[in-house]
Amino acid sequence: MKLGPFIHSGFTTKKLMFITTLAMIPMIAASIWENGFDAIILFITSISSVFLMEFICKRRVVFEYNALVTGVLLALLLPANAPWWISVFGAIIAVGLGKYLYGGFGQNIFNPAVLSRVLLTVLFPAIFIMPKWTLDGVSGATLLSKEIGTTMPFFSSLFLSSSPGSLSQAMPLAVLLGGLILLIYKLIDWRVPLFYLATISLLSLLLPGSDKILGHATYLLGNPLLHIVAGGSLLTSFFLLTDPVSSPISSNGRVVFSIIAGVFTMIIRYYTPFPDGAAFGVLLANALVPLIDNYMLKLKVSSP
Amino acid sequence: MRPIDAIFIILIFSSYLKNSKQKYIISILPILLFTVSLISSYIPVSIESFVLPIIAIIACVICIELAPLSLLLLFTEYNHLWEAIMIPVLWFIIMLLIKNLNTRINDEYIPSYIRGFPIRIISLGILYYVFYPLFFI
Repeated sequence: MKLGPFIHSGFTTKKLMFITTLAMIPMIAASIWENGFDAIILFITSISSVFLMEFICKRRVVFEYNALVTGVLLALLLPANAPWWISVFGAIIAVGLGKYLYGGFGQNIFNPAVLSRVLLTVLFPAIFIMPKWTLDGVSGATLLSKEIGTTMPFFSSLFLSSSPGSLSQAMPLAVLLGGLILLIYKLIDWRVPLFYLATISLLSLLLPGSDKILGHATYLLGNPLLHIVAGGSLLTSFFLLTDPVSSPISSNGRVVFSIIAGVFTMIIRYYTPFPDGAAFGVLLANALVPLIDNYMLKLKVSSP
Repeated sequence: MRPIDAIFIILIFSSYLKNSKQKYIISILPILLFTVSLISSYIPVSIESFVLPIIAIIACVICIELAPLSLLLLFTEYNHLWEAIMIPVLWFIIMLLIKNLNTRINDEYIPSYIRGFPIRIISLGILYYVFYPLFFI
C-alpha cells in the first residue's frame, strides 16, 4: 500500500472484466470440445440466469462484464453432467446472496461464483462428490475423488484432455493459457498463483495420508503435479483467488492469503471425504481478508 | 447434535451478549466433558450420575446468561478429543473472523431490510459452510 498521489493505470473495471472474459475463452472452448452439448447448456443457463438475477436485483436492464464473468465462472465450476437447473440455483446464490445482499459488485466479501459452488456442493453432494455412474460409464467425479480408483492417470492426458470433474478441468492447458493472458496484461498479481500452487505442491509431499485416501486413490499421496493439474487448483490460482474485490490490498497480504487457501485446500483433499477443497479454501481466504489487511496495515505502520 | 451445529448456534446466541469473558469460560466445557468421559471408569458409579448435573450447575452459576448454551454444549456428543478441542478453537477463530468481517461490511450499500444483525447472521451461515468439511475429518 502506497500513499497518493496515484497514476491511473488505464485499466477501468470494464476493461479489466473484458480481458478476463477473453482469458476465459480457451477454457470455454476446451470444455465445449470435451463435453459437447452438456457444456453449452450449462454455459447458456448459467450466463442467462446470472443476467436475469442481476435484472431482478437491480430492477433495470444492464450489460456488465462482471456479470458475464460470474456466469462463465459459475458454469466452469459445475460438473459436466450437472442438470441445467443447478446453474439456475447457482446464479441465485451467486448474485442474490454473494453479491446483492452485500451491497452489489465491489462490496462483496466472498467470491460469488465460489460461494455458489460451495453451497451447491453441500446441498447437492450427489452431483459434486459421489461418482455419478451413468449407462455409458461416464463419471462426474474429479480425479481427486478418493473412490475413483487406484490407477494413476497419465499426465499427458491430464494436461490436454479427458480430465473428468468440473467444466474447467476439461483441459488444464486451456486454464494455463487463460492465466498467462491475465499475467501478460498484468491484471493479476503473479504472487497469488505462485504461492498457492507452491503451497499445494509442498503439502502434497509433506502431509501424511489418512484413511480417506489410503485404500482408495493412493496415487494422490506425494504427487504434487497431480494436485496442481487435477481438481480446481489452476482455475483457483489464476481466476478465483485473484478477484480484486475479495483479495487483500497489499502484496504481502496476498502472499499470506494464497498460502492460507493452499493449506485449507490440501487439508480438505487429504483428510475429508470432499474430493476438492479449492473452493472451500478460497472462501476461507476471502473471510480472512479484513484480518490480513488490518494486520498488514499495522505491520506497515509499526515498521520503521 | 454435531459439534459444528453447536458452535454456530452458540455463536448466533452469544452475539447478543456483551460480556466476552463469560463466553471464554463456557468454551472450555467440551474439553472438560471429554476429560470426564475419559476418566469415567475411575469414578464410582454412585457419583458418576451426578457429574454431568454438577458441571451443568457450576457452568450455569458462573454465567447465568449463557445457561442455555452451557446445557447445549453439555448435551453435544464428543466422540474424539479432536472434536472437544475443535469447539473452543473454532469458536475463537470464527469470533475473530466475524469481528473483522463486520469492519468490512458496509451497511450503507446493504439493502435496508437486512442491515445490521441479519447480514451478520448470513455471514455466519456462510462461515458454517466454509468449516463444514472439517467435521468429516
